Amino acid sequence: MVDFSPEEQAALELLRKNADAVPPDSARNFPEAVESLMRLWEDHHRSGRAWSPDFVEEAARLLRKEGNRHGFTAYFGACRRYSLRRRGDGFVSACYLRSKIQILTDEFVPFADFMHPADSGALEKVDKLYIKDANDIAPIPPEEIPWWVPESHWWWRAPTRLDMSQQEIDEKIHDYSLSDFYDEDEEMPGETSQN
Amino acid sequence: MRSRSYPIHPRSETPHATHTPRPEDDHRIDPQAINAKNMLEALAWAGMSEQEIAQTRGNANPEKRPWQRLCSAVMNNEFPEMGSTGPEAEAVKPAMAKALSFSLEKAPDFKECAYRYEYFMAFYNATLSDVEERHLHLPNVEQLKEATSQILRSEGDIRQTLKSDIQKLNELRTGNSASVDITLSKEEIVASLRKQAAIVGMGPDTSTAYHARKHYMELPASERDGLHPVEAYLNGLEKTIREGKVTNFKKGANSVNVSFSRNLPPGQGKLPKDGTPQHNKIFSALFVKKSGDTRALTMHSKSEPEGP
Repeated sequence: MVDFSPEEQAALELLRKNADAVPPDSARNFPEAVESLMRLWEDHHRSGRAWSPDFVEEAARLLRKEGNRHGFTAYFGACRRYSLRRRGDGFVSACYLRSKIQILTDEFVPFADFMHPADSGALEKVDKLYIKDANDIAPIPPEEIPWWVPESHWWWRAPTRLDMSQQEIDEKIHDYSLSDFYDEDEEMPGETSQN
Repeated sequence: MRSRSYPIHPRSETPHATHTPRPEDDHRIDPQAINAKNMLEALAWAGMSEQEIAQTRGNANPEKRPWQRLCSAVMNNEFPEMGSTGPEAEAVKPAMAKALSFSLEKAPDFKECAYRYEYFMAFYNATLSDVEERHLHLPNVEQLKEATSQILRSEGDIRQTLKSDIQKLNELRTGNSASVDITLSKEEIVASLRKQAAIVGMGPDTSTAYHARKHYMELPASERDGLHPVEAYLNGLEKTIREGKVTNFKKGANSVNVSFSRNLPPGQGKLPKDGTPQHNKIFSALFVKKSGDTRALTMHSKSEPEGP
């Protein structure tokens, strides 16, 4: 009989409950289960402890159940939708979700095993989005990257235009455009008369 | 008693683990030129011919403001599979074609086209999210086909909703718009904004409707129940300006930026899907031009550490 900690039991219980759930509940329940696993991940990192093999085995077994696999595909769908808004206000949320997906697939179940067989390449497609338009994504200041993010999670540092003005960054992350407030030939803040 | 533990070994090996930015590339890249090029490719992908694109753009300079504003709307709100080939791309193209035809009805007013595109995309994203939640057993190509089918059927509803939003907006924001003298002191500017909170608007009607639809559900239920979304949103904006704390004040030579932030009742903020903390504030950014014209640029909820 394996003894799991109360936190491990709580995480497994959320996965157990969702294992046989049907849509849309299986999608709506899944983020809470992810967060319970993430709290354990953060705890382990903070204390230098590791997953117990028994916990990993049981969590993986439950994650492979249909309700949780479906929940994962919806969770990935949210990551993909935010990634499609990476040049606007979606990038930070995309990074959070992408990191949590990476931790789930590194520690418990490979990506392809969660997804419909036709969509096993979907993660690579999303990753290409961060590279393709890297000059037009608002950079995230290093101090705003969560402490638990591994160095290997490169997407947080994908933006290449590191001298993007604060005005442009604010427009992207808050989803507005100052140019909406100015006529075509009217000088905007930060412009010189040569523009 | 804990069972035996083993060290965590991060097993992720990604091809881009060593990707680093190249500052010299940033200085060579002209963002407006890239945007314009990307936009041409996006329009062609969605099915517009070179002639149709040229006719639509007319004499507008592709690297100057109105066309660039439309570029931003299209590129910042990317359709799934945009630019790619294959069955998923073919499933999405009709939806993007519809978004473009809905938006370009107002050409050559490309700013208005941008607002219409953003409004349409808000509905598309909500539709796609709902389809993905309910049809979890389907491969993505079938989900995309279903989302396209639903959004094409929804065109009438989208038009009607936009019309209703603008009608409500015009009922609520009549008369003069807010104006503040930017040569005043910080205290005087803030006082003037609070006094005019009921008439601060967000500019063009379609853009205001977009922001309202996108964010009104982030207001507490008590501020929304029984109200039209646009009314709830503008009421929320007024309350934020009137009662909120000033969290940013920046005075330039030709403009002033002021942000206000108010607390949400505990547990009533938006619960983000990315696992970040539940939202506990409503935030609004205001902008005052040299002329005194004043507008709210945005209002939305956010999560912030509780201050002193």
